[in-house]
Amino acid sequence: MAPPERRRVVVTGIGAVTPIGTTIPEMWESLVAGRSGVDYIKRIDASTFPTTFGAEVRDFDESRLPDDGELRTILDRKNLFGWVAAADALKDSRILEAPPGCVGVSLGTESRRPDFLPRLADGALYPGAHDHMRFSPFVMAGALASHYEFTGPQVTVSTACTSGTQALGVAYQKIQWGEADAMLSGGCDSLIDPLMLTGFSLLGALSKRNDDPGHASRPFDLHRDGFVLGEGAGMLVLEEYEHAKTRHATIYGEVMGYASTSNAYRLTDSPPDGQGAYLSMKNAMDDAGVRPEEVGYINAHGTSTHQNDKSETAAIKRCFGEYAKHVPISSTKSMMGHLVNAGGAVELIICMLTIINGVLTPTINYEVPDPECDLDYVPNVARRQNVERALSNSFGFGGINATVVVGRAEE
Amino acid sequence: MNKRRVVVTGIGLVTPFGCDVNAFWSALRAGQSAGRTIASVEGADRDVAGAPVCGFNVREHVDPKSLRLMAPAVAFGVAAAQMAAADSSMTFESIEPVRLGAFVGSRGHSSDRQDLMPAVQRATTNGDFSLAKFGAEGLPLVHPMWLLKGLANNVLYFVSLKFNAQGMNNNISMGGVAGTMAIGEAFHTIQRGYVDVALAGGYDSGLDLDRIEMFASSRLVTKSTDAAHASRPFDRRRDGFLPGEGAGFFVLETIESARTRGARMYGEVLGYGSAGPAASKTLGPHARGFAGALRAALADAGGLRPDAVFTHGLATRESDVEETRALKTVFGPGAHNTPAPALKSMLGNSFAGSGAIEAAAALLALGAGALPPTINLTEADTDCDLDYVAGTTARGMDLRAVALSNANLAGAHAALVLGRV
Repeated sequence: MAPPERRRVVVTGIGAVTPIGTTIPEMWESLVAGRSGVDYIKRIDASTFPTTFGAEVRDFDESRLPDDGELRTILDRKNLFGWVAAADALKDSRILEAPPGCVGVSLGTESRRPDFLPRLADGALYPGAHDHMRFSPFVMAGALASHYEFTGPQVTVSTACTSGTQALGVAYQKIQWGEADAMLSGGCDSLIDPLMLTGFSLLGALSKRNDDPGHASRPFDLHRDGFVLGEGAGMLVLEEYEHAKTRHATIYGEVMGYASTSNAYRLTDSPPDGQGAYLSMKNAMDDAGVRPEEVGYINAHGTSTHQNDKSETAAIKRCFGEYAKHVPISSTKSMMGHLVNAGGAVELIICMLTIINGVLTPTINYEVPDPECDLDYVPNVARRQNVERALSNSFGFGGINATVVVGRAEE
Repeated sequence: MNKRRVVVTGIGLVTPFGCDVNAFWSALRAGQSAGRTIASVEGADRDVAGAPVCGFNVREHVDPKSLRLMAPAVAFGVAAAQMAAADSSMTFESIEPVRLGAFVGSRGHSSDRQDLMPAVQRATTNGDFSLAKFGAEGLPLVHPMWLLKGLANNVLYFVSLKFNAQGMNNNISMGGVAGTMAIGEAFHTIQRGYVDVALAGGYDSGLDLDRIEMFASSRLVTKSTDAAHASRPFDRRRDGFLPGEGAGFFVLETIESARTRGARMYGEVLGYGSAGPAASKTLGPHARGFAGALRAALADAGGLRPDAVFTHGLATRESDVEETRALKTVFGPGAHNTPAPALKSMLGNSFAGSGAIEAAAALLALGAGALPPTINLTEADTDCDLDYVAGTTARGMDLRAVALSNANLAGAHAALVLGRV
């Protein structure tokens, strides 16, 4: 159990830009409807790559971007997604009307270079005076802190697919232990990028279902063949509970526990027994003081690769024992693809919305059960169900795992 | 609150003054400059003034198979972590894997352009690059593991694998504060009971082609070609930082565990804090951020007053003035009596590596009872009027606790307080 001196942390604002909606209501509507955001890539010419499709953010309203000219030169596409998601989360929380003493920023992201290859061809990789900022992973945290006058800790985490969840975990601990009173936290990324398409294609990690993109992301299905590159951002306002209560904030839920672990195994593969993922879930639940039977939903990492989904299922069984068959699990990557550095943040938002709305979002494209993946993945259609506690899992290359436990905030 | 005490029992270094801890300290003590004129940066069209890593034979530390999966600076980090582990005499196999953490201050994702060049050339006709041609004909020319070589958390992976560190971890890609923060986050994680032992440090290089070109059109890097005198923190004629490279890693554990196994203790981590600026028009190091992080770290250490501050001392016009202002804000009139050396005068700026390397120097200073000097400070800037230990010789001084201050170029600041055990 948590020692008494640790402070409670709640979520008071959310914002997201995703391939299935660029606002929270749009995204939620798509999730409940089981809509796929995966289609042929349009922003770059991917026609000759082994994979020609992805989950792109469409209809992104440019008027929502910052009007500050300097910011526009520093922030690239993924950071602009992050900027909009952050603005939405802050507005939603109304925290700027009565900010606490110490607000920080904790993000999961890394630098991207969609124009790297053509620039390499013409030999001018860094023509701009601001390029050392534009291509730094930490510029986004700095830009947000500076714009909103946040004096608290700034953190940028880069652990690929685990970044967003780890950034949130760090934010949670900083409030819990009194280093900050509130944190703007989440992640942003864009994988619709020739370098990422190259790198992940070569590793054989991507689905090659080029004749049927909408059904390519099929976590836990027997015929899954890899993940789908996505893009977007998710941002949350985490706030110390008493402060949120005093200012009568709308509380989405409570962040109750966090853990990260390392497989110490292989760079890309997870161990078949799911050891690191098991420890991540177990330690996070211990941190939260939550028993397995109290968990009503798991937002799985569920990438739709053969290895991850099998290993994650094994880890859930090990962690939850007999109860594993009764806990609903879904992978929202089936609809929006893999947002990598942003994935964990968007998925924690989905956990919050699941608790608030009492609706489980589905794993779409689930058609043929895999004997090795035999749990309740909420196949294809949303399900009305009350959920009090939920887990969000993220596992990444380099063997890094992280889990956040959230719950309905009680008085 | 009953917080656990955290001590440093192992140091591993890959620096411009070599990999030997004693040699590193001797060079700092003697006020040497690591600045060199480098003619051999692959692909660069001119000589580069910098502080390159010396005396490092990567093959002594990393097997050839693993090395193929490491961008050059990654090997610095992995090697430094291994040396810290050896230095600690810790039996890592005896630790429950999930109670062993790893925290890395990382450069972030890096793309080694040489690995992509053949494919790019194949896809370029008369200067025009075609992505379709790249996808069709270029792709087979790229190494299948290309993405992993530049993976942002590559050092974290290899360190976790090597020592079976399965516990709480992080990979902080925060430029100039990353190494400092990795140590601070590891400290809090042990102090608060999430793990018992951690490997923590930072690595980076400012001397590969990517970094050199990235900063070429900025005003941040020194234009001086006199490499040994190019890094001049707090001096009136400073004109930017001297790019350096390297890594520093540490073994951190509870004081009980160190005492039980009779380990040598370099010092104790007493406090850690980080802060952003409150509204600065341009991103970058700022007095409010320096002061905020320092105050947070000192409060975290129980409100002590440090005997000295190891400054960020970047040697850009703005950063040094901001940092001086911050020290005056935090210490008031006492700022003039608080020695504040700038090690970047000797070592240059190795970005995510700097904080860790400077933390090693601070720990060695505590043990030796001596402060390394700020070299190349011969004509003080009127806005930089504190005691920076100017000169070329160390100053003997009884040191009980010192602070270490760092910032990054987007305005994040972090500080550590380190004490004698």
